[in-house]
Amino acid sequence: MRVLVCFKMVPKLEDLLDEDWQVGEGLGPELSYAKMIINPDDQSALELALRLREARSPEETYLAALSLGHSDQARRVAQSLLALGFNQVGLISRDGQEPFAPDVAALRLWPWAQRDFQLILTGARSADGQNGLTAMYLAELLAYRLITEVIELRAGAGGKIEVESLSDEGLVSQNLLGPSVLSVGNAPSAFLRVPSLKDRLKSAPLAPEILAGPQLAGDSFAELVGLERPDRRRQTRLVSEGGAEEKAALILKALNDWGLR
Amino acid sequence: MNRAEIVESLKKIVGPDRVITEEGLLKEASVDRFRKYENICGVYTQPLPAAILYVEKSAEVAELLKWASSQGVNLVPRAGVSATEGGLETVVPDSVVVDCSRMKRIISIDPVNMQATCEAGVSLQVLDDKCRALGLTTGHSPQSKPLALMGGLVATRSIGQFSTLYGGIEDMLVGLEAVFPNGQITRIKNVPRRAAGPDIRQVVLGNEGGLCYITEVTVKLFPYYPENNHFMGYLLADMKLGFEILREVMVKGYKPSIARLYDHEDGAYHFSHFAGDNCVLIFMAEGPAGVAQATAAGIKALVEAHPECQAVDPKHIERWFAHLNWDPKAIAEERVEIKETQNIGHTTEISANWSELYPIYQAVIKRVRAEVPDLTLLGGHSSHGYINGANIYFVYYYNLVNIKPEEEISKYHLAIKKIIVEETLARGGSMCHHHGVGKHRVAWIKEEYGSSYYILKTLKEAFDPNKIMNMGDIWPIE
Repeated sequence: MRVLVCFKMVPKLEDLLDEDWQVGEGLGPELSYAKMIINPDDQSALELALRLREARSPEETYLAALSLGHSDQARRVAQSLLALGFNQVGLISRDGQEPFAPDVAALRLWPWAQRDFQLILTGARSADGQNGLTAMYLAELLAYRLITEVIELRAGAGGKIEVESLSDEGLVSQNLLGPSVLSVGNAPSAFLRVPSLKDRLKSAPLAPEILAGPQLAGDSFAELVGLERPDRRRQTRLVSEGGAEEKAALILKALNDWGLR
Repeated sequence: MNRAEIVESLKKIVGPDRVITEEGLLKEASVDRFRKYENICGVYTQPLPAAILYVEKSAEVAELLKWASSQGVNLVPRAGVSATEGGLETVVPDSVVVDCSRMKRIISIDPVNMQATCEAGVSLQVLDDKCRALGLTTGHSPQSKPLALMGGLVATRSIGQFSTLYGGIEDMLVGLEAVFPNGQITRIKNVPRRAAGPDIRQVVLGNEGGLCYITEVTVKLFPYYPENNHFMGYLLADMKLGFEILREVMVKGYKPSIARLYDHEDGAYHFSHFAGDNCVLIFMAEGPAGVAQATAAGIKALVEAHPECQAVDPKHIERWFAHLNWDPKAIAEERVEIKETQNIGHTTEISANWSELYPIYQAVIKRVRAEVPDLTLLGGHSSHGYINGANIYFVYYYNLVNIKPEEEISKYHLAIKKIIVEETLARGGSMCHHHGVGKHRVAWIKEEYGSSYYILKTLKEAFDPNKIMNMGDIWPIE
């Protein structure tokens, strides 16, 4: 079985300063100085893929990982994935920064995802794309079945793969019957394992592949005609002085002043 | 005396409400962060203490210590529970953990004499925040600042991240109150300096609860000028040059508050977004505007005279600086991550003279890589500089492979610590820069002290003749 995990590097928002959150001319907070990490839902997807291979025989499961962008940090992560035993890691090159758009991301991943992968995993959400749409667009492009909110993968009897996912009705367990895209979200395993120095050394001769990005002109699902930032300013006052009683009085006063009480 | 009798006696001293005997809490109190993996796994290998006792007044501490001396009951003083070297482990059966966290009165913040006095259980974060609101600072900022309590900081000879300017806690401590095992309450007065014999503060500083129980401390204050901070960062290829530059900065007389050198492994862990595969030099200059500016300009000229160093956008360093400390949230997240990934990290810090730092660094990295399995990160940084040398803070992470929780320490952590201590002592360095001896570097304490162990041993014999103060810490149980 060939499994592809699509992962994304996202800024570690905890590292930002207050001033970075003051939105200026751009469309969001200042992210230039933030460390990049693997998107947490994608980390879960990568770890689930590794566990699935462990549960099956390793020879039966070919693992590949794919990401958009080939920054130094993405390359470092890709090298780690190779050290963890991924058979192939690809980084799709792209010029400069582009705002996240799930349809564009799906279109960029699509040509590589078509290469005979029976199972494609992605994280459901990310810091800069809280919409869960990439997996949906990708499933549509591939004409694969889509399962969302996947939290667990198990190797079932007879080589079957059992998928556990969350739904409005509760926990759903099902066997995969054909090629599928799995959107992993809220999985209890949130961290990707760490390769040892020896594994890193052993995999040093391997390198992630830098893949050419497809030309997308005119291929997007939608044409962008404008962007407008909604006014979401909030009134804030920090209450640090005094004891509990004094703080409560100040909060009450603020609620009165703002007409909220 | 059996456990039940100990508990009954304690209740008579402080009342029943402040004597805790709940098993889960006793288990937690039997360890510190040295055994964090055992703790995460819910495996407790140390003898459980008979009770945790919350003290509130010096007089009751005196009564408690007198009682413990007469009964031979081991006491383990506890403050902010941020210890990493096993100092809080209850290695003696039926010990009593004596917690000062309810002694949290700030007695005075004196902007004229530039000193603050507080009880031992005052949080450094709380004290420093109150000082900063007045335009002052303690200048003390260990990574454990949100957790650490003032008494514990003095007892463990703590040092903060701005030590190159402000010094360690030994440079900040003015006076104190401490209770000795015979019940004697002693006060060391608050004066700028005196030459009336030995500096007896040094008997208390760093005693790790092995000689006395600290109940009150007075520390110096400094003006706080965050608006004048200058941040600088540089990338360079190797640690040897990095140590040479750090030395040059210190020897030429500059006093940055931060002077740090990360090797490429530790650098990649903290600064993957700008460091690449390089070592990283970091400086921060602070103080009055003119001083901060001149310090920054001098260091900049000095570093940039080395063409191998490539300047980093200072905004990267500023953001790193804003997230230096770990707090209860970070510790809780770390527990989850360790459990899931079965990957854990520890540190060991040493100090040595300039000429020995790089040889120690090289020898440790080489030996640990060769002798210890399953490593995922092995690196280090130097974060405290002096005219004659600096520290190295070795950082190591490893995967936990085929072990029971209680085997983690012997298979990995102590095996690595042993190499670091051996290589440091072999080159005349100190095996403990600022985490204290705890219970796991005691094995080398005589080698650390050499002939001066006589002085250390005599202190214990003189002040704790009945061996009731944190036995097994600093002084070996013989």
